[in-house]
Amino acid sequence: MNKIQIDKDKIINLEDDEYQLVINHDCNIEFIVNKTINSKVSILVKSSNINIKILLESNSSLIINQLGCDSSINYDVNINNNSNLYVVDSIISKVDSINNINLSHKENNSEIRFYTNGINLDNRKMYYNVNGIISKDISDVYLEENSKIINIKDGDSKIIPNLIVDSKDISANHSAYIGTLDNDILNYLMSRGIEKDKAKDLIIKSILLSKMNLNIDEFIKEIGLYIEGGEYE
Amino acid sequence: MNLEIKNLFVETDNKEILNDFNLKINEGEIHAIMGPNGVGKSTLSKVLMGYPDYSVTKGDIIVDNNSIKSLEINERSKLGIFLVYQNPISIDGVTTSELIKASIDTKGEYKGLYKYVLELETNTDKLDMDKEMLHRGFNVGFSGGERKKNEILQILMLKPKFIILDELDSGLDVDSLKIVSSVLNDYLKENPKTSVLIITHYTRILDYIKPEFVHMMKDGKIVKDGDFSLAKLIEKYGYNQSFDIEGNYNHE
Repeated sequence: MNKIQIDKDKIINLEDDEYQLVINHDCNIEFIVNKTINSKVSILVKSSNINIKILLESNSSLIINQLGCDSSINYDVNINNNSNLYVVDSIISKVDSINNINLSHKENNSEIRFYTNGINLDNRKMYYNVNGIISKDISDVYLEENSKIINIKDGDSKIIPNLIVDSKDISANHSAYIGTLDNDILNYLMSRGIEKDKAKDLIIKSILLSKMNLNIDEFIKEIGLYIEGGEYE
Repeated sequence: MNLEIKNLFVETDNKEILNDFNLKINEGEIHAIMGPNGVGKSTLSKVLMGYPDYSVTKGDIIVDNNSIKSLEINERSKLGIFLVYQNPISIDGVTTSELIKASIDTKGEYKGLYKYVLELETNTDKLDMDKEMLHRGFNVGFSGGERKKNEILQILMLKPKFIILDELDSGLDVDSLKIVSSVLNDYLKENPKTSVLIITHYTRILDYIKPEFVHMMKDGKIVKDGDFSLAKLIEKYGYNQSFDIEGNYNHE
C-alpha cells in the first residue's frame, strides 16, 4: 500500500499495487498504467479543483474509488487494447461542484465502467458532464456511464450524459438520475429507532460509498467528519 | 406491550384505507389478521409504525394507556414496536452490522464492541446465516429468504415488545420458514410479554406461529373474529364464503 499526499502537479506511473492518495490543493494529476499492470487507487480530495488524466496502456487495469468533499474533479481518460477501467467518483459538496468527464476508447476490447455519486448539500451548482467517446473502427468495447445526484436542499443539479459513438460493434449505455433522499430507506431506518437526521446521514454515506470496492476506511472517517462539520464548516 | 386501535379511520391520497378499525392486543398475545389483497392489511402495519404517508383522520392508537398517534416512526420503534417488512429494502454502503449497531446505539443499549459482535454472531448462527453477510451492504444481493432472516436477526438484537409480521412467509422456502419461525417461537418463549400481530393472506405461517386470536379483514375493517379455527375456515372456504358463514365468528 502506497500512501501519497499530493500538493502539486504530479505524474504517477502506477505499479501492480494499491495506492491511497490525499489531495487538498488544486492540481493536475496524471496516472499512467503501463502494459500488463493492474492497479487500485483510492483518492480523497478535500476542498480542491483537480484534473485527473488517465492513460491505460494495453492489457492493463485500474480501479479508482474517489471521494471528493467540496471539490470539482475532472477526468480525462484514454484506454487502449484489452484494458479495463472501473471508477467510482463520489462527491459531497456545500459549494459549487462542476465536473467534466471524458472517457475515450482508443483501441479494441476495452471496458470502462464509470459511476458518479453526487450529494448536493446546499443550494449550489452540482454539474456532471459525462462524455463517452468511441471512435470509428473500434470494436468489442463496453462503456457504461452511470450518474446520480441527490439534492438535499434545492440545489441546481445537472447531469449531461453523452455517448459519441462512431462504431457499430460496441456496447454502450448511460443513465442519469437526479432526485432527493429515498423515503423508503429513510422510513425503514427510522423504523429501527434511528433518528431522522442520523438516518439521513446513513443514506448519504450509503450513496457516496455505493459501488466502491477498495479499502475505504479513510472515506468513512472523512464522511463522518464532513457530516459532523469540523474542518468543512 | 398492550396495544389498542380505537375507531381508526386512515386515508392516503384522499382515499380511505382503514374505516372504523378496532383491535385490542394484550401483552403476550398472538393475533393474526387475514384478508385478501387490497383490504388494507399492509397499510395497517405502516399506520401502526407511523408512516407519514398515511393520515389518521379519526380514532386513536393506544400503547400501554398512552396515545402514540403523534409519535414519529423512530419514537414508536423506541417504544418497542417492530415491523418485519414484507419486502425489506436494500441499502448499499451501509452494512447489516452497522445498521443494527446504529439502532442499538439510538436506544442507548450498546454494551461495547466485544459483547455486540458476540451477540450478533450467536444470533446469526441461530438463523443459519452466513456471518459474511453482516459485513456486506444491507440486503444487497440477498435472496428473499435471506432478507427475511435479516429482519428476524434485528428482532433478536433489538428485543422489541410488539412485533408486526407482514407476510413473513413471502419469499421464504419451507426450510427457511421452519428456521425463522422456530427462532421467533424461541424468542417469544424467552420474552413472554411480547405481543405479535401476524398479517397474512395464507394460513401456512399460522401452522408455524400459532395465533390465539384470528381476525378477518375486509374493506378496511375487521369483519369477523375468532380463534385458530377461523383461519382453518378461511383456508377451507376462502374469504368470501367464510364471510357469509354464520357462527361464533361474528365481529362484535
